[in-house]
Amino acid sequence: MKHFKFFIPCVLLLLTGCSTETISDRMYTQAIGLTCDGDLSFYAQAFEKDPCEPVTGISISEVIRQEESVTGGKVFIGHTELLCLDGTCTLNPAEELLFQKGLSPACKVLYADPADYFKDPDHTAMIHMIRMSEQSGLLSITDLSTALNEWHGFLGTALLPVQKKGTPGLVLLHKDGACTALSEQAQKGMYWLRRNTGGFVMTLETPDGEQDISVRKIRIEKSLHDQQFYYHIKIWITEKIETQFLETLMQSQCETAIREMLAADADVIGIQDLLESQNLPLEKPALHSFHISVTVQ
Amino acid sequence: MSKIHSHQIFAILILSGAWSVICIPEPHGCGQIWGTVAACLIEMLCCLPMLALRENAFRNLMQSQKWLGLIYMIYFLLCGAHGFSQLWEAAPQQLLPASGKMTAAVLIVLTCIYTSSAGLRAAARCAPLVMSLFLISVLVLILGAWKRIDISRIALQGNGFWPGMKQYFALSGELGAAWILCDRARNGRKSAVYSYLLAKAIFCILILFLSITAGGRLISLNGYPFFTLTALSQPLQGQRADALYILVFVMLYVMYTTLQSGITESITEMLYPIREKWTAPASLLLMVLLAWSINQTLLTDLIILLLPVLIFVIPLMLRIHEFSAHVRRKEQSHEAF
Repeated sequence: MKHFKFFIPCVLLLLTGCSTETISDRMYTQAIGLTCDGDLSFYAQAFEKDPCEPVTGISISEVIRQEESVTGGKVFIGHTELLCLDGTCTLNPAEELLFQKGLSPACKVLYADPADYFKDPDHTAMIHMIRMSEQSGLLSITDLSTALNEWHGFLGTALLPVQKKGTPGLVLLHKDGACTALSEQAQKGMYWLRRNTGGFVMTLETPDGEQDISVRKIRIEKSLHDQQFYYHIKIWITEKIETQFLETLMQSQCETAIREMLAADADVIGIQDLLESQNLPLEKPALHSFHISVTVQ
Repeated sequence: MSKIHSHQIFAILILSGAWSVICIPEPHGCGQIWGTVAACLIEMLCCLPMLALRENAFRNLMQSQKWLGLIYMIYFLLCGAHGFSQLWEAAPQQLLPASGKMTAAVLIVLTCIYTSSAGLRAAARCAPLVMSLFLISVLVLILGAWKRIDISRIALQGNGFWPGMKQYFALSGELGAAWILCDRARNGRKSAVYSYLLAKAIFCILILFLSITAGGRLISLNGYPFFTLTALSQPLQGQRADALYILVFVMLYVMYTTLQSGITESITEMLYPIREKWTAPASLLLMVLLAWSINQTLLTDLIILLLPVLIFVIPLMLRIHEFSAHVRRKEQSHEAF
């Protein structure tokens, strides 16, 4: 009986599945792309492999099965770093990819035409560029879970990075597939108005010339009183500068961001959360109901 | 009868409670947090008469009122059935999509048959080990969700107080087992039960808090706050935490079911003092049958209905009886003098 007990762990090890599947039987994707022009087209790019050809089908499960039959390996999208979408597909299939197929919630969502993007892609460089832009305060932090949260909000829009020459830009993607590009000024304003971390150096064009400033920490306080939205941004910097100049600059960037966002019928700065916190009806606020204040310390 | 340490009682109760919490089917809003706090306080008060009883009070009650034993037994069978229906509803679509519904359920039930045949004491002894794994998974969950927390999503006057309170009572099936376990405790039963009630409420509040602040609107779309959180909470870039969550999910269910079947076995032993090895596995199979034949909503309602009677009304009556007997004895001794 004692020997029999040693046999049980061996049987349990066989149940792990390690005995039936090797690493070469799996296809670990680094980037995937989706378009919905009639049928669903699925692009799956494995790590360090040649550019891929799309497969088509009517559902996510079908295109993944198709991909598996083409590549001869089980498709695993759990480590995917980039999801590429265009206006035809929008974010509708992304929810199924996240909850049913195990796509990482931290995966970056890029707004681009997969047919163009997957021709000669360098995903590592693109992901690196997006992350570096986010870390250096040039781009708002976006990922799959934040995009989906915005997408299911009352105005149904999501803020996504877009491929541009130099640094990536930002677009507001709508439910109907239309997208609105944000100006550079609005992109900077979006950075202050959304969840962000600080810990970067930014170059400021002061009247006395360019000056590098280390941003240690950023904190945003949002509140809603008498149907007026108050956004108070606190920013801690290490250099001694004329704070008034930076405060005015940030305030004007935030105002531009809100103006462009409201013009595009979008909410990517948590307006719905503020309305829901006070049990107020969900409706698009007017531009004059926003009060932005900035304190530089 | 073999005794169980108070820390083992705490561990087995909190693990069973955690199973119910991770199977919360839908969030109701920020008011659910306050509903949970209120329900926990009510449960703490309800436990007072139960914990004031003398040692072996439950055993003595079972031997004098056998019909009550049958009611307790039915209650634990219903709790076990409720647990199985939760597994049947939640697991396949959330954590075990690859294995198929039936395969996963059969393998888990086979494991439960083995653990329940080993007895309640064996389950109590391994509970602290499972507890450590459970704590690691909670830590991973918090680490993964930490960066996504947005406090502005919390509304202090949110909806969901009453549904949250009702849901928390429905999740407290294992509270009935606390009395029977305390009967077998060496010492420290009060601290074990109150620590369990507190820890379970904290865990439930943590899950609700994280699901509201980190999950946002995705939680209400997908249901099952805990499972949605596990999809969102992946703290390591190079390694997914799914395996850990699946392991903990299965282990918590095994502990929950082993507790219910073990308690049913204990009650059978108290009613009919013959030790039968297959009582617990047989009760487990009965739970599975009940789960398939009774609607989950009806199971929940029956548990909510029976719980206050079994953990509060009966212990209270027993305590009053004990007290009056004590007063009578005192009077008799005075008269004898």
